[in-house]
Amino acid sequence: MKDRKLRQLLSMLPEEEEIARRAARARRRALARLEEPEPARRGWRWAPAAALTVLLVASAAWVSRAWRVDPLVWTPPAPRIASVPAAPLAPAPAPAVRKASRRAAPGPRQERLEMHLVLSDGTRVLWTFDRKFTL
Amino acid sequence: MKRAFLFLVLSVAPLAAQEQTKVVKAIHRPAEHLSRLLFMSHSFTREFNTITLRGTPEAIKAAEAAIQQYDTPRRQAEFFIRVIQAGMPAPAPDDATDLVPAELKSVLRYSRYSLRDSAILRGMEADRLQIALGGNLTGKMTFHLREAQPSATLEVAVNIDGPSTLIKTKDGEVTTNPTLLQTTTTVKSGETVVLGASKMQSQSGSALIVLLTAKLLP
Repeated sequence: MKDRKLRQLLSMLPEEEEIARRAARARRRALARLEEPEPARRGWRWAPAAALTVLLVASAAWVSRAWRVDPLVWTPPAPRIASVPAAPLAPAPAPAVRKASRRAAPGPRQERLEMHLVLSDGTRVLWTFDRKFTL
Repeated sequence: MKRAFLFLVLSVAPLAAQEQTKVVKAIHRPAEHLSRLLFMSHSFTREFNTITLRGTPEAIKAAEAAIQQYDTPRRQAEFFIRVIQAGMPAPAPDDATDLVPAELKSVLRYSRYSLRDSAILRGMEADRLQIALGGNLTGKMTFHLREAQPSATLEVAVNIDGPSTLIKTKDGEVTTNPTLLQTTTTVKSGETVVLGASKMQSQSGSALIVLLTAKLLP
C-alpha cells in the first residue's frame, strides 16, 4: 500500500498553474540577463580619467606656484656716476722694461721642405731639408 | 609587406640571373694594380695573379678590355747610384768633389765631399728594388714608366734609410731606421738627377747627396 502511494507521489506532475509560474520566472531571469547594464554604472568607467585630470590640474597649479619667484622686498639703489675731475690725470707709469728672453723664437713647424733647382747645364736638383735628418 | 617583398624579389631576380663571374689572368702586371682600374664588383689573388670579375656580360667585357689595354709588358731599367756625403773629410780615393756639379757646390756651404758608395741597380717596373749602401745605409727604389715616346721618362721613388738606432720610449726600447732621404722624381732615360738632403737649421751637420742616373733597357 505504502509502495503504491509512494509511486503515485513520485509520478505526480506539478499543477498547470505551478508550471506557468515557474516558466514566467525563468523567462524573467533570462530577459534580465539580456538587458543592458544600468546607466548608473556606466559613469564609473570615466571616474579614473576624471580623477587623473583633476590630479594633473592640481599638480600643475602647485608646480607653477612653487616656481614663481616672489618680487624682491628690497629694491637696490640706482648707481651713481662719479663726476669727471677738472685737472688732467697723472700720466700712467712707464711699463717696466722686460728683459729679452735668451731663448730663440720657436721655428716653423715645417718638418720637411723640398727645393727644386735646375742648374744651367740642365741638371735637376731636388734638395730636401728635414729636421729629423741625421747622418 | 609580403607583397612588397615578393615584388622586390621578382624585380631583382632577372638582374641577378644576368650577373656572371669570370676569372681573368694578368700576364705582365700585378693583378692588384690592374684591379684598381675597375669600377665593378671584383676580387684579385696574388697567388695566381688573377682578377675575378662579377657583373653583367657588358660590364665584364668592358673590364676585360681595360685589363688587356693596361696589362702591357713591364720595362726594365738600370740605375747608377752614387751616394756622396758632404761636409766630411775623405781620403783621396773617396774624394767626390769633382762629381758634384760646380754650380751646386757654389750654392752649398760644404767644402768637402766624400763618396760613400756607388752601385748599379737593375730591376723591373713596379718592383721594389732594395740595396745596401755604404755599409749601414739602405736604399729602396720603385719606378714606373710615365712616357715611352719620344724620350722614355721614368717616375722614380727613392728612399734611403740610415743605420738602425735604438730609441728609448716609455714602453721600452725600439729599433728604428731614420729616413735620410725620401723623394719622388721623374728622370729621363740617360739623365742624371741630383737628390740631396740636409738637416733644417743645421750649423755644422753634413748632407747626403745622391746622384741618380737612370737608363731604360730595351
